[in-house]
Amino acid sequence: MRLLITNLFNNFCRRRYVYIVFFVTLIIGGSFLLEKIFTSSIKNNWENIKKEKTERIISEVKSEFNRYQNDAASLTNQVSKRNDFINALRSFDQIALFNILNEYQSVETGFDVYDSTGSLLIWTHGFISTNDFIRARTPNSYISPGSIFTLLYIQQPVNFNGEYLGTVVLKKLFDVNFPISNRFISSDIFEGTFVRKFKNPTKYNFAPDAKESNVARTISIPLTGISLNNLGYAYIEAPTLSATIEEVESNISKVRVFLLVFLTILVSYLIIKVSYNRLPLIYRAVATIVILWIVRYIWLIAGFPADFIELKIFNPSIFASKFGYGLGKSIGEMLITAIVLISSILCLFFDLVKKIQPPEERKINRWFFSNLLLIVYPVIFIVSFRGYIAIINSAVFDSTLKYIDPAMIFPSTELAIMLFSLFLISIAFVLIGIYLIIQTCRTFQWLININARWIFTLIVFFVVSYLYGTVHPNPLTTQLERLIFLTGLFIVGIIIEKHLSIGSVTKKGYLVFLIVAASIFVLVSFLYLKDKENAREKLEAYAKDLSQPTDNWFTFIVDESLNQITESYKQEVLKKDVYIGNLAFTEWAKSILSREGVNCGIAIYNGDGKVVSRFEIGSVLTNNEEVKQILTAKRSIFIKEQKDITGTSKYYVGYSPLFSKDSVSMGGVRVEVGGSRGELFQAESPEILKTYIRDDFKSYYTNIYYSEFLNGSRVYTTNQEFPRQYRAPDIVSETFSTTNQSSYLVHEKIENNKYETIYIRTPDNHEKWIALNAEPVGLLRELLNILKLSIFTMAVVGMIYLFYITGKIIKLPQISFSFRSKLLTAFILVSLIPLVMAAYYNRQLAIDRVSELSHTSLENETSIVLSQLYNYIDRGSVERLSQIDYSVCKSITKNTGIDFNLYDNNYLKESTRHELFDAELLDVRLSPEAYLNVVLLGKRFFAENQNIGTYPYMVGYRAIKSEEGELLGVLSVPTLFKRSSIEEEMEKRNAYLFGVYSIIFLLLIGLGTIFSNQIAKPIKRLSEATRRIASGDLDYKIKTERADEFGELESAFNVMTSEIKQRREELIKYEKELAWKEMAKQVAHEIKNPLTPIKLAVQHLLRAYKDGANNFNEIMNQSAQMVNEQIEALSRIATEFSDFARMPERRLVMCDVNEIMSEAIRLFEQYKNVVFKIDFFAEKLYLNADRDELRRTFINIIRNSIQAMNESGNITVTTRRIDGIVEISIGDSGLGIPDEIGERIFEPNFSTKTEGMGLGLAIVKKTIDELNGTISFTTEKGVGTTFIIKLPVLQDSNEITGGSYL
Amino acid sequence: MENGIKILTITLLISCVGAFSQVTDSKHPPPQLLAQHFEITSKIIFTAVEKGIDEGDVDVFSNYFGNRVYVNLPSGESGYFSANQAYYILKNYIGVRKPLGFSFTTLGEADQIPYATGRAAFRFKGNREFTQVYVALAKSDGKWVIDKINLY
Repeated sequence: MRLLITNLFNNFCRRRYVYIVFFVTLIIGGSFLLEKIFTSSIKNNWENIKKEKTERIISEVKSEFNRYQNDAASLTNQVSKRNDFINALRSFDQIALFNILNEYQSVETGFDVYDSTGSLLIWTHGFISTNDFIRARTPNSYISPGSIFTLLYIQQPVNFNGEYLGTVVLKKLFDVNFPISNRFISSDIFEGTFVRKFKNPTKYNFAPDAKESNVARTISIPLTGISLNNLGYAYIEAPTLSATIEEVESNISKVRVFLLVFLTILVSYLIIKVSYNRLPLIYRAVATIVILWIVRYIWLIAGFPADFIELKIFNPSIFASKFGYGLGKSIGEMLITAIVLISSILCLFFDLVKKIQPPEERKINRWFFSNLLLIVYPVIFIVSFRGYIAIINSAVFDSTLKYIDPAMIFPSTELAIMLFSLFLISIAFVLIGIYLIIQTCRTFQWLININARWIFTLIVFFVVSYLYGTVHPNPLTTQLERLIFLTGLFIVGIIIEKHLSIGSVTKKGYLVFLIVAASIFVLVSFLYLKDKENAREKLEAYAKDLSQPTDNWFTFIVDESLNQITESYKQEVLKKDVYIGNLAFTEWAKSILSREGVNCGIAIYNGDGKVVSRFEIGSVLTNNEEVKQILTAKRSIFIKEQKDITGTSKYYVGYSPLFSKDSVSMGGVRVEVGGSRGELFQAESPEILKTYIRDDFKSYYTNIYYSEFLNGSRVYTTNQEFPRQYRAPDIVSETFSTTNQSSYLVHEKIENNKYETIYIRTPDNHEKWIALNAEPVGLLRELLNILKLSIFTMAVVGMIYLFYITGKIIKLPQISFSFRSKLLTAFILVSLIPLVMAAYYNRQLAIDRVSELSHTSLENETSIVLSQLYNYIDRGSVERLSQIDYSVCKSITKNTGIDFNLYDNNYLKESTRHELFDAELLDVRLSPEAYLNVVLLGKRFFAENQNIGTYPYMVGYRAIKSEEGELLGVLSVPTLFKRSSIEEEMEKRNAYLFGVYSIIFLLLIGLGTIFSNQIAKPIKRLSEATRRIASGDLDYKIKTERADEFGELESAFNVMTSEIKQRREELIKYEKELAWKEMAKQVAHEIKNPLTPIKLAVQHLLRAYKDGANNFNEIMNQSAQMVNEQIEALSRIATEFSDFARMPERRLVMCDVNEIMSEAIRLFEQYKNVVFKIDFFAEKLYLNADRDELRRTFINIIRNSIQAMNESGNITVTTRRIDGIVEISIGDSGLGIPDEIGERIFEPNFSTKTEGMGLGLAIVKKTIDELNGTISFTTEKGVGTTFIIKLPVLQDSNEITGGSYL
Repeated sequence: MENGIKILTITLLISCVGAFSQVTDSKHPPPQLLAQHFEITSKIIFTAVEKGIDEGDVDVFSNYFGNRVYVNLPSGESGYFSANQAYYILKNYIGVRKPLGFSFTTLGEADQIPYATGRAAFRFKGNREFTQVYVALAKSDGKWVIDKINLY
């Protein structure tokens, strides 16, 4: 029983993987059944499940809300109970209050502090309050719903000794419904809101008349405040059977996919392991490749890992290609495909990175096939090259990644992963290219002499490349690009082939470096070219967009916007007589207007014709002349033209009355779009309000100007420095007039500046053209761009290599770096650390400098605006800023070019750019820091950094004072609308810094490598010499080149090796003499033994003859037999000595191990009681050995085995191939070898037998050692002994007969 | 023999690459657009879009994408994308939603730009979603292609 269990366990251990595969497959199959069972169970118990889920949802919503509310209440309470806060409130110390509240400042939280009379004392950066302050003596909470921000208010009265001092109000973001989402403003910023944290699809109603929903399948959950007042309701869709079942199926499906992925990995591992044991090299490589790609496609179909991990790298909006039916449908999928591709290529050419052996001359005996290969190789090369370029093309044209971004110092994660994937693909194609080039060259070898074959190979490739370019309709590259690529690859191929030919194993790292460098160079070059091409095409597309006729298009936009607003407006809003800033903005954001990014405006009026809400981008909403018409007439859309000094501007105006459900006029809406092409080009909406960021071309063009031409002459331009009288180049006129071509790219020079100009003929009027003049970045910037891309790629590759090295170090702690590597690392670290510090401080300096410039600029600008304002303010009047209205502000802006805001009593009075206030991105209250510094502390000027989302900008504040010095108001000038010029300045500095420091860094690496090589060279020479000496080459001498300490060391080394050689020779001579003496002694002893019985036998015979013995014949026979036996013994002794001394010459040939073993076994057929169990390897196993010697070896061991078994038992003979080793085992069922004997069985003259010299196993060991093999044995007393011989297999018949290496 | 197998394997790998790859080429649109035997009118394209959204299958109309398509979705994806990107973005959006019916309510032309709008309803994670769909075409190399597709 015990044996049975042991056998079962052993069986399981041997086949454990098979069992695991079986069980996992079973589980996967079972999951379908499980799904059905779960689904059925859910259906049967649906009512109970629904009830339980509903209760859980209600409990969850309530507890989450209460926790959220209590956290806010606790914070408010904490503030109000602080002694310093109470003291500051008592003494109306606003500065102290401000400092305390600043400690609690966060993105989602704002504080207001009111005194006991209800006046606002101090506030922090926060949100526009839509509710008035409600004076309360007890803690209270309420939620104020807005169209954009919904806020939770916590009011905490502050008391001191029973006296009411004031109230702290905390405002916390409950929900944000900001309708714009771009790289500055996105939902990520508002992750702290309750709604986003809770992540449940819930609707809320906090209106005073909120009640339970009467919609079917909706759960209404009442929410209460901290004083148990009713706040409102949360509405959540009741769980449905279909949704629940879908959720369960989805979860089971995910588990199933994980198991499938695990199964594919396990099965692949098993198949590859088996193939490595049984298949020859090339077949196992092919099998591995096939398995890799099958697994890849299984993962793709199963949606692993994209459907399981929500990462940006699986988002197709960054990159998506239809390559391989989805192999590149995102950056993440591309990375996995690239890894599989490079693994496949390395499998195929793994011998390139393994031990390198020199190739032999190969005789080509198939003339036709060889000539065919001369065509096939270059064709495959060109096809693979095109495939590679198609991938690079897709990486640029199918992605929104910015490969060249002047503002980028470090690549983003997505860009880094993309570059790494492209790098792997580049290596794969470089390897294929080099292989094909070398193969072509070697195929030429038999025809042409060794030097000319490269030239002929190059010619063949050039010809094929040229023909391909001529024949293929879309080669994707120019002839020149292909030629340069080919030439570069050839040079690399020649270097690699040269190193392979001389079999330089030590240069393996250098070859890998060469391939990596070539791959990076190829990748960066083509990536840059394609990216530039993409930029140019985008520019052309942009120009074509601008050239489209606009009348009907903008009329349509206005019409669509009116439709949307009239459908969605709320009557209650128009009943109020208050201005609602964000209403018009919200309508704008939801409409098609925001997507077009044009200058536009929306004005909404109530029934009295008063503006309820207004939002505009650019000065579009001109006047309210049509108000009466808007309220009474039917919908109307018309085009208005306005002339000014810049030309004629068109405005597309639409208005419509707004009616209630009872068809009573409630008010009206007006939409206006500014649509001249110049305005389209400038598109004034601040970047932060754009739904999407239009392509910017800063990577390749410093400036882009828009111009309009009529009959070839310029009539309008946005560049004031262009000459007024300018005609387009004649070639453009000629092309447009004689062909159907509607666009033309020209390189022209205007006012000593070079431009790439795209001329577009407008479709509605062929005499009218538009042009975009793009000023290319200079050569230096282009080189810096290329350098930056190269460094990003090298950095990404370097990081991966660093991980690899770290992994090796962790796994193999004894790994050591060479002296040269240590020296190089030391050089780099010593120079890199100060370089990085210098770069960091320089960058900080640059940022500070820009900040300082902005500060100075703001100071000047506020001063300019203020001086203009004073022209309009009666500084002696008590009416303060009442004379200042919007038209005054716009006029100042027009004169000065500066946008500004005016604050009166800490609230916004006027702004020349209302849009951000209307969008509620800016607080209408004065910034608390500005209030503190300008109002309270009385500073004349104050500047601070502010943020809208991730959008940083600076604001300058200046006090507006009366003649007596009384503060009338505050003026602020933000850099919001000049951000692009500031950014440009930073980008230039960044590019300069990055470029300079990158060049220095590369120089350091180059010089460090040279110096470390120079220093490490003599040490390498010494270590090479030591190695040679250790291997026995005592004649090796180091060539001393230096006169320094290293030179002395080398000389001393040479002297030492001479002395060692001399001593060694003396020792050998002595040992030889000693060995001969031993041998002679042994021979004499062994010969004497048989001689004695021979002598006795002869004496006996002689005596019998002399005595005339009657049994003389018998004595004769006996004596003769005795003499014969002893002569046989003498002969055997002589043979063994001869074998030991190896008298016959050894002949190394290709030997089939199985065949020789069979021959040896056949010699023992006479032993009827000995059963041979043979288990030979399926394929032939070849060794490089002497046939007879090998056979004798096997015979010796088998003979010993038979003797050990007393000529009766089982002998098991097996042959195996494990990696590059042949393993032969011969096991017997004898008595085993005792431990004390086992140590000595391979010694000469050691034997446990009465006959024999004890040389058998010594000869076997000597033979195996000389064949670079090993022999060992395992033994068990009473069970038997198994001898195991391991010898290096002959890899390929080519190794003996000669052939190409690759 | 060994080299022959290597060559064969490389050829197979590259043939698969060539067979499966779809080159994004700004100057040469996908073959489906090179209709030589009949004219693809704007109506055909709008019909395909309508059918595709109604069935929740982007493949029905993805062949009509221009080289650059402006896509705007309520999930946040917004901007100009290549035809391949637009395909996957829309597939990711429409593919996970169960369509509850869609048809264009307005077909028109403004400044030679055909456009169509309509209201679509989807079910997503148990909730109903209503979305306004707006599609505009443009001419590219003399043929109509989808230039803008907004869902808001």
